[in-house]
Amino acid sequence: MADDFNLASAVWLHSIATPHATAIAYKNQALSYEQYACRARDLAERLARSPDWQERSIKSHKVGIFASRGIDACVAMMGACWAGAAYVPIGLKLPQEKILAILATCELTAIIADEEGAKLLTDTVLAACPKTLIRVDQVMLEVDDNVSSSGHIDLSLQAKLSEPLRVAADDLAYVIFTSGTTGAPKGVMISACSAQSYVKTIVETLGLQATDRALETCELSFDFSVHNMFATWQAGAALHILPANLVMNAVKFARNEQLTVWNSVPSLAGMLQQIKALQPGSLPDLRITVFGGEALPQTAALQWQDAAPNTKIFNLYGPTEATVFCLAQVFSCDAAITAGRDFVAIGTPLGGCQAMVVDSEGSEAPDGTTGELAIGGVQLAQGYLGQPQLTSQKFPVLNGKRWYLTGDFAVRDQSGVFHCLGRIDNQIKVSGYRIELEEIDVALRQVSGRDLVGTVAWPIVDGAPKGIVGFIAGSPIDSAELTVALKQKLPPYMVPNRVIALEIIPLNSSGKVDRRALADLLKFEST
Amino acid sequence: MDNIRKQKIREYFHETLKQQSDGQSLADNESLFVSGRLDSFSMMMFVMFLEKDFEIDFAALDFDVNLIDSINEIELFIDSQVSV
Repeated sequence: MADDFNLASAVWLHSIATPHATAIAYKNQALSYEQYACRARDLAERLARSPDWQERSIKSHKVGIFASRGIDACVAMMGACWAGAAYVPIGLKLPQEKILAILATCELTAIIADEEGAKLLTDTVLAACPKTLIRVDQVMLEVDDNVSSSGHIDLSLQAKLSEPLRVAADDLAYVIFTSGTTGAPKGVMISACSAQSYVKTIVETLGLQATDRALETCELSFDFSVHNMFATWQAGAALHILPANLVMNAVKFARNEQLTVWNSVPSLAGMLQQIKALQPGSLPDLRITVFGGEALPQTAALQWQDAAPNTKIFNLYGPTEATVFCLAQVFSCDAAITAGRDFVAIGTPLGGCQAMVVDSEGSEAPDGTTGELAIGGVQLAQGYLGQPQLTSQKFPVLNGKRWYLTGDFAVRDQSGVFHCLGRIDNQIKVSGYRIELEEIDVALRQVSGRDLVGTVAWPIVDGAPKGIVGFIAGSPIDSAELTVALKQKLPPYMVPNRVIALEIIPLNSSGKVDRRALADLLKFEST
Repeated sequence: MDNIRKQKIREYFHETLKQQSDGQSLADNESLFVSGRLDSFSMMMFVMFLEKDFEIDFAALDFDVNLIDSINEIELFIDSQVSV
């Protein structure tokens, strides 16, 4: 039998082997594997019955997901997977302009929305959507209605979808949009083979077990969620979703739910430490901790180890373009630390991945030499949706092999461990959100009407950016009006906390806005 | 909590919301953090403010966001800590 690459297969297999085991828990609701598979299958049937689905003869259907964090979002995504489609999560905090840009790029076959997501479907958005629009919270009712009113059930379709539809290695599993320098979001296309390879590798690397209870802190549109969800379900474990408004109660939540696996960006650990929610021994049940999405400060890792004395801490590194994470470092008191930055090293490549440091000529740099980190191997994305030129630029062929240039400065030490040394470009991470400062510049230029603008990450706490400050040339503009206008163009995490007007914007020797000088102004202001 | 202290808390949030260009009024019983009106970074800054200006030792507490989610709850919380 050919390999099966459908991400839904693990849920289906566990629904047979351990039907009553918990798959997802959220607030006071839970779904067993049997219930989860049943809901995903019903939704897949509903999708496959739609005229759009049957009329379009394409290799990979794409299904947009408009859903807030919770069980319905998981069902929506799993239903799309079950039907053999790629899911495209659309962040509910995105402004309408960005949603329309994503819809224009995707050629979706269908949209699945929950109650919260449906609120975003204004007339303007609906005009850009495919005809098939399914409310995930109403599918059960529709299925029952269909049977009773028409008395007709499509038995061949039911039989076909009694298990997840088989997908080929190069079929798409999902498309996740990230920030782009031009102002237009980039859709990263991940194949079923890359996604399956990651999930299987990481379950083995971490040693996840069916008895585990794992934390979910992310929205579907953040690719860390791919790790949280599919690694948990691959292991047959339970995913416990933290309600978005209780993020700062995460320690209490982990204790109450007796979680054994923690997944989050290091910023969350830092904040829990700051508010003193994290005390020595406060997380005794944790046996695995996964930090990823941004640099892990050594002090944060040490404090975490104090709070969770029985946990093994994994620092995972990876861009969305290489399927979530592709390098891993286990933290211990004598683990490699990146000199001068006090961050935990990013470690060595996961099975199926390769990493190398390249010089400006694209040749592999010797150990100890700084260059750009390139990733190769099975987890590489197919590229950016509808952007072949950008794809060939960012995924060049070097020495006869395809690589992804991460834009991160890195060095490999003599023991083969990789260290990340920061960005080559102006990409930053705020609480794990990947942000291109140029994208904010574009929006700021548009709404302020000023040509010379600049944005910087500020403040910086424990080496990590916590917000953004914008600068415009000339006289001050009403900042409330500016913020309202920026919110129409940018998701909330990209809207500057402040916009400062300067008579003169400093420029560097190449005539570009000098972000370092702008950051120095803020440092000076805070002293 | 006396009125001066409560007024100080009101002013703190008035300033925080202003910095975020949130010009809407804030009632004493309105949710600050659980509603998502202020984010986790703002909460962290507020906890640090309480530690510094009200000498509250969060290390001795079992932190729960609901304790400090509105000005009224903050009032009760500060009172309970001052009387400890």
